[in-house]
Amino acid sequence: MPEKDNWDEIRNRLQNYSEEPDDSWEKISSTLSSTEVKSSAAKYWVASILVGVVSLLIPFTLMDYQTGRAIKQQAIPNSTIAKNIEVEKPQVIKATEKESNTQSTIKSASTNATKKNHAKNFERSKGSHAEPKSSDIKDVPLEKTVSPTALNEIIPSMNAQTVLSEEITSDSISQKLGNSKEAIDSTQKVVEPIIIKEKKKSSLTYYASISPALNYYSITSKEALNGRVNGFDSKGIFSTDRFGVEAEFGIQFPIHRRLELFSGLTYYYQNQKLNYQFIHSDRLDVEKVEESLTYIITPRQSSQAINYQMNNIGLNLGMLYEINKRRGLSQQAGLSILYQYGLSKNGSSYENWSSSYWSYQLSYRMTFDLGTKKFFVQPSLLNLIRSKENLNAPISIRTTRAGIGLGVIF
Amino acid sequence: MKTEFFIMTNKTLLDSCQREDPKAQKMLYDLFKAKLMGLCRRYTSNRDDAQDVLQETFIKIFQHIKQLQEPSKLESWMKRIAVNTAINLYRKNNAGKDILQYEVGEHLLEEPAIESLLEVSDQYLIEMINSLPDAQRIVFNMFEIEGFSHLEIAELLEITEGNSRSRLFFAKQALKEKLSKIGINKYERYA
Repeated sequence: MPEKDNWDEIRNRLQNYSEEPDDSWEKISSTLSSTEVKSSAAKYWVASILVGVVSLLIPFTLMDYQTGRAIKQQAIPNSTIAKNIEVEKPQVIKATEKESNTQSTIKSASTNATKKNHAKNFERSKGSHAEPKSSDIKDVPLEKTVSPTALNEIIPSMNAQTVLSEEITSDSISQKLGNSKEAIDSTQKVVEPIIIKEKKKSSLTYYASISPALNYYSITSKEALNGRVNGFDSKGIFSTDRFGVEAEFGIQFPIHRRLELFSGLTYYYQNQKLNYQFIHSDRLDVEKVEESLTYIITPRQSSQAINYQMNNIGLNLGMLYEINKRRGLSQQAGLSILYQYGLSKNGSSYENWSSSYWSYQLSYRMTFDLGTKKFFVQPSLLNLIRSKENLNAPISIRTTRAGIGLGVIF
Repeated sequence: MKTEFFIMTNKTLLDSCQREDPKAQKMLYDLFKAKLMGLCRRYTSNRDDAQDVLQETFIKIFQHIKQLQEPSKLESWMKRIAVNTAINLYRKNNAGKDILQYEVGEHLLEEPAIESLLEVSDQYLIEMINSLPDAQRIVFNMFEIEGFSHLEIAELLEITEGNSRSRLFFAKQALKEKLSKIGINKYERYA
């Protein structure tokens, strides 16, 4: 098959054809680095936008949350009052009948019917409005219908955040309870309606903290192009070489009686050196033993260092659970997720710029209530989940960070 | 007396490139640039285009090298990327063009006075391939050199299988004509 052979020849020669290109390595490497910078910058901007959006959304969410709670606060006492009016009516009427035997049963019955109607109207209006209509309140002789036992039931039903009108403060209530008999007798007197004022105080608070920390590393050696890592220099547990410091500013707000959400911007700084021993596979020392054919081959070993300097900004998002609260001291356990992004550009073995870190943080917060401000002490433990470091060394590093934060809530 | 030796394996080279080690990337580039340039020259009509395809190929290689798990497949994987990049360039340049015509390139090197294929230089063979119309050259390379089937070619180039066969036929006819022009019209067995 001569033709086939001809094509085979062409195929073989073309398959193995090679040609030296013009050197375009500079262009390729610059394109690669610009692509990396672009993707890093994109991540940085995405993170910044996310922080911005979260910061904007949180106050609005809180406003909705506050409004919703205020409406609930207004609605609960009214319904309680209405219920009590209904329950207590027969007792009141009986008392009235006992005291004035001369009144006819027909009058009592008509009074009873009127009161029932008023109570029903009041219930109906409660469904559509948070506050009862003034006409309802005026028509119902509350002074007469609300008995001391009813008041005793109303008062505990109001939570600590409920503020009563000036007319019915705790003092005035006890005074009214003492003079209940007198109050029942005076049928002409009309009591001011119970007005529930909305609580003005916002539950959104700000916090700022500073947290010195010690870093502990789990370092894993990787296979390298030109050798391998043979060992790492370990430092003392409390060595200052492990030192770093973190500052955080953020907001926190309750989502439940015991739960608080918090979100803060963080800045972290450290300047550490990690030393390791490296055995070169591309550099062998060959020594000839004198007057023999024996050669001693030893891989060359050198000591190398990574300047592990960090200037990270980040976003911390998490929640605190209140363990207990006693006399100005509250104890909370916290869990948060922390994202950090490197800003420092002066590295060779380690480039902090565009390195990113995802970590989780466990914390225990003791908050001391000192009047207008609260101070807290917060031991914490941070553990790296995932990182994308620009580390020019055949190792990977996992960080665990123990710190004690000192902060203020305002 | 001390001497330094350089030791490296394909696996460590791949690992280091996956860690984006610049030295390893340069080493990989130096190691394969000539082979890949040869491939790019076959798929493009001129050296400048081949240079562009080569550059784009290496950028893609370094961007996606983390996906490669088998060090033994490094070379074939890189070649496949080069082929795909060349196909993309061809698609970009020939979008909407009618390419089923039978053409003979005019820009062939001066005909050498030779009698057998062995005397034809590689450079001349490449020029011959380059002188083919783009559509035929791509199919010829994919089928005859890289070993793609007509079905695969049809899928990759978004043409019919029959179209792929036609292009190959025309490409071979053109090459035969070119070979006969330089005096190679006997199909002998070359040892």
